[in-house]
Amino acid sequence: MLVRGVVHSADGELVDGAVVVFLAAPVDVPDIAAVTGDDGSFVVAVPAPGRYRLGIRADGHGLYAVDVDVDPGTEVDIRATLERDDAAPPA
Amino acid sequence: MAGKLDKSVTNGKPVESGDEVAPDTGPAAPEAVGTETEGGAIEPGSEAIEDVDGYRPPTLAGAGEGFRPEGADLAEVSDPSLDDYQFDIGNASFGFGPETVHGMDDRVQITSPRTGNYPWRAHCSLLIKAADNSNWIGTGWFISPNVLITAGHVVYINGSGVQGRDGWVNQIRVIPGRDGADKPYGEAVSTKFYSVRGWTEQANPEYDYGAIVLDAPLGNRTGWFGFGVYGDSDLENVTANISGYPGDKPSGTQWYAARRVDSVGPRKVFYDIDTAGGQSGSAVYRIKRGARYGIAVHAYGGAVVNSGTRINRAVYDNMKAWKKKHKL
Repeated sequence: MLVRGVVHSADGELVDGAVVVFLAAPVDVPDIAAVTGDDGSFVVAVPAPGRYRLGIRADGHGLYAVDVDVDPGTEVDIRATLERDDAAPPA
Repeated sequence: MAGKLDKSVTNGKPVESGDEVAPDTGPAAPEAVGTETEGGAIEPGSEAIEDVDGYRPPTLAGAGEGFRPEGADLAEVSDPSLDDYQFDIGNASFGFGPETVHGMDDRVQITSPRTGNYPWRAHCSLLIKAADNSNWIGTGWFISPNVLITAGHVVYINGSGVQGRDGWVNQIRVIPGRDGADKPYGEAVSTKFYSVRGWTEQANPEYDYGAIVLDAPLGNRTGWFGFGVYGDSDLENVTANISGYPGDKPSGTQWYAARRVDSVGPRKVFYDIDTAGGQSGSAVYRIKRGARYGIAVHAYGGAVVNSGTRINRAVYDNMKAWKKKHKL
């Protein structure tokens, strides 16, 4: 079971180097975090079906949170658009 | 004696037989710590927390405070205020198991120039490039001038479901005492790693630990942590400390929290210390008479409580063997 995503900035640019974490999960999850590539994409595995909350952060942007429901044997695709946060450290 | 699942494995030249498993001769004295001249600790009793400007670990009774009322529609949000974790959205609103940050976010940021002092400089930000060239972040901690301990899944990826990703990672950049762009000790790149068969062959979370070996003795400049084997009743009364580099905070920043150990198992230590992705591999450590000793390797967040791989006899023996094997 996979969650795939592409991360954009508010102006539509692909975001390289955004960090993707699990904020909540139905089971224990490894506390490692994925980092988006040049194409703004990431792929993370989930260990069990259920609802997961993903958090996505990039410098200069606020934390983006999204809930995904993962069914057995399926993959979920998400598109995340980060909003600029002037209070956040610059990119 | 350690079982075969604790058999050390490496992506490089294998450890010679006998180096990695020692006889079980009883409780071990903790390893000597490195530099202990900087960084204070508050030691109210026999256990201590780090002395961080007014920081006190919350009581368990206060852990659930600040939950957001039910019914809020947060199916998809982009809310900078989430950065502060003023509420536990998932648990209260969606019926999740508790999150890796439980209730109020207890973590406190360790900033420069403090990150250049011991013990903070012995905690390292890890930038990981997996076999498929995907990038990840984690945390590691020095146990010698050139050996760091981390989670097994930081050095060896299992069950990713992505072609070409599983297996030993390609490389890890190690950045001691990082505070965002500030890297007071520079960085080193490693391509030599260790874990154990229980993780690499069986993906058993109870064997989720590993090591990173550096060519240069960067740890001579940062100091390192001791580690020890402790009994259940001892650990159950320990205040555990964790500092690492969580991905839900500004890039490359170090965050610290402490709480009493919740419970222990033969191969796991459970605690309610807030963590997030990126803190895998962090030292779970105690402070005794001003010295810091690893008791577990943080690895998992999520359901009920967070947890790390306990430094039991077999783990301890492997850590000692890895130190010895790469003694400079």
